Amino acid sequence: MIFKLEIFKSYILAKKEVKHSLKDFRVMLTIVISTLVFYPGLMIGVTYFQEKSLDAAQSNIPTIALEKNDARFIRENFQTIPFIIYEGDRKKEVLLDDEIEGIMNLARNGSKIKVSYQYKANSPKSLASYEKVKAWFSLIEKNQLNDFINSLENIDTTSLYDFKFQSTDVTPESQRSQLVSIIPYIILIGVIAGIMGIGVDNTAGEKERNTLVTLLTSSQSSSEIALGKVLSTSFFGIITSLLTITGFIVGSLISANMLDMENLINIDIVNFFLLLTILFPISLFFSNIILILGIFSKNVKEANSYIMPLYIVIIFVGFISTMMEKGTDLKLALIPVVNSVLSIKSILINEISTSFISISILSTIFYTILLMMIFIQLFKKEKYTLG
Amino acid sequence: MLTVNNISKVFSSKKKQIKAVNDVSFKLNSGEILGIVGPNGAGKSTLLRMIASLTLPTEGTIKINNNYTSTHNRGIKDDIGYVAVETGLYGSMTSFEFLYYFGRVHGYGKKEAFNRITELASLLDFDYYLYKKISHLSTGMKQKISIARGLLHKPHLLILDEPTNGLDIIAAYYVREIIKKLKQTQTSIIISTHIITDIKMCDRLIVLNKGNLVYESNTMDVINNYNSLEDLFFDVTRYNKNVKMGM
Repeated sequence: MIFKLEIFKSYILAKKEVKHSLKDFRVMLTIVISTLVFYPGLMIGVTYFQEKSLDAAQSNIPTIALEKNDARFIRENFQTIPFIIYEGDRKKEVLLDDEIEGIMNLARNGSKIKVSYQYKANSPKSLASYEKVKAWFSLIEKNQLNDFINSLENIDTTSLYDFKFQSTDVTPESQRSQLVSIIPYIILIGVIAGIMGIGVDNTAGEKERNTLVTLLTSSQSSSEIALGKVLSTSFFGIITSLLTITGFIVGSLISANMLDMENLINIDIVNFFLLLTILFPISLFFSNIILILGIFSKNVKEANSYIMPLYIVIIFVGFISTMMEKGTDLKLALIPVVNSVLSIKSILINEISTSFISISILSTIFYTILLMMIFIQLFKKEKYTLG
Repeated sequence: MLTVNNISKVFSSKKKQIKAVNDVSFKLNSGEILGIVGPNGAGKSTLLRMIASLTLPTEGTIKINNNYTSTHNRGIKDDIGYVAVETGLYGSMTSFEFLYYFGRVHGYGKKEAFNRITELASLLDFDYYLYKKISHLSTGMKQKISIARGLLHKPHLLILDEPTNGLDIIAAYYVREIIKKLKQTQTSIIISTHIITDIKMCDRLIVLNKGNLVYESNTMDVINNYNSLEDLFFDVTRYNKNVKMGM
């Protein structure tokens, strides 16, 4: 009964603090505007500039590697060739080093020709070469058809080429999309930014305004007040995570529609919920860190001065994680922030490791509970609440 | 009602120790108003915070209605109403929202909380700004809300830390009238103050200086024995009344 009462008191405190924070314009600005306006805008902007650089690449005359026989065939049969032919060795390495734009193989069977084309989708020039070659073969077929119609009676239909075009993106997984690599990192930064102000306001801010004394004199125990603060700050952590990921998905959809491009964040409903399962514990983890630093500080200014170095460390760790390959080393799943970045990344590229993600979530929950207990203990000490 | 028994409070840091309150003892009966006076830094607020269970004494005990104070004893917090020197109100809330929240915390149901707030609004005369945002209220209005918050759960002991501090003459008058009304309800009140008019309301008076209780008496005796509160102050604290002017 007493336990139930305690939870109820924490709940009404959390409800009061959520309402209080929602009335603060700055909170709405950070949480709603940044997640639902800034992130989609960022996605659209980045995709737009990618499309622009692709347009610029279209004017480039690509260099395409061909086998000697294929090169001879192309030269002998077509007068205008829209690319430079490369006949050197180590074709694949040269393509990956961006020295050429594509590798073409022709499998001929009489007039039937199967064209295989390898390119790098993350290189605008290579991507443009793919579009150019594809269009060229389509034009050859079209011209042939016109000639056929013009001289219908005399034409030998067996000499008409029939192209079957097949393409392969050879970009390594880690380079497939730089945007997809940094999205997990931006999401985490967004979550911290969303809860930072609220966590500081609920602790150091309350001390500064002397409202914490008012709370402490009410018939709530220190633990109930602390738990209420954890609940309210975590609520905003969860909302921020939800809005951030929604913002990115919406941004990706809008940019895909507007610019007629492939959707960068292509996740189904299961993966969406999996993302939230990763984001919820990490947002609670950040909430508790911020609350601890907040109660440790005398005022908001001091709290911010403690949070800034931590913010920089998280930015650094998160950034390093974006450069790592998707999570395979299970030890990494025990490192907070790194585990979340790698888990989110694996979901975005749809290469999910269940064991890695499970360990990541469980370890983050463990750290969060530990931090929550530390916060509640600190909150019981008058040195921190009244000092 | 209240027994303060040999309490001391020491604040320790790495460099030094400060004894804010030193071996203070006194009693307060039901329906009595006790005034605590003393110069700045005398330990008045620390003493009041210890009685309010906000902070624990380093030594000694405080007993309210046969219960010893403790920061975790919720029962004892229900017996005390504490109004700090800073009002500590949530500016973004209306007066009603603020009081309703604390009403719920003190265990009132939704309807009970509403009825109690209406009752207090009528008693303390703030009905007309009950639904106004606290940040839009004047200092006097805020002080009334703060006192209402202290009285919300019908405490047996009300602690007022400088209740008329910073109020204009009219607002201070109203606050004193509220205190007089409360005395009639048998609520015991402790007031920390520097203001002579506040002291005149008190039944008894104690003077703190440098953490020590240096004087305790009935207010009437003080009025009879001293020309002014200043005289009492200089007498019991042994400060020099002659100001040296460097001119």
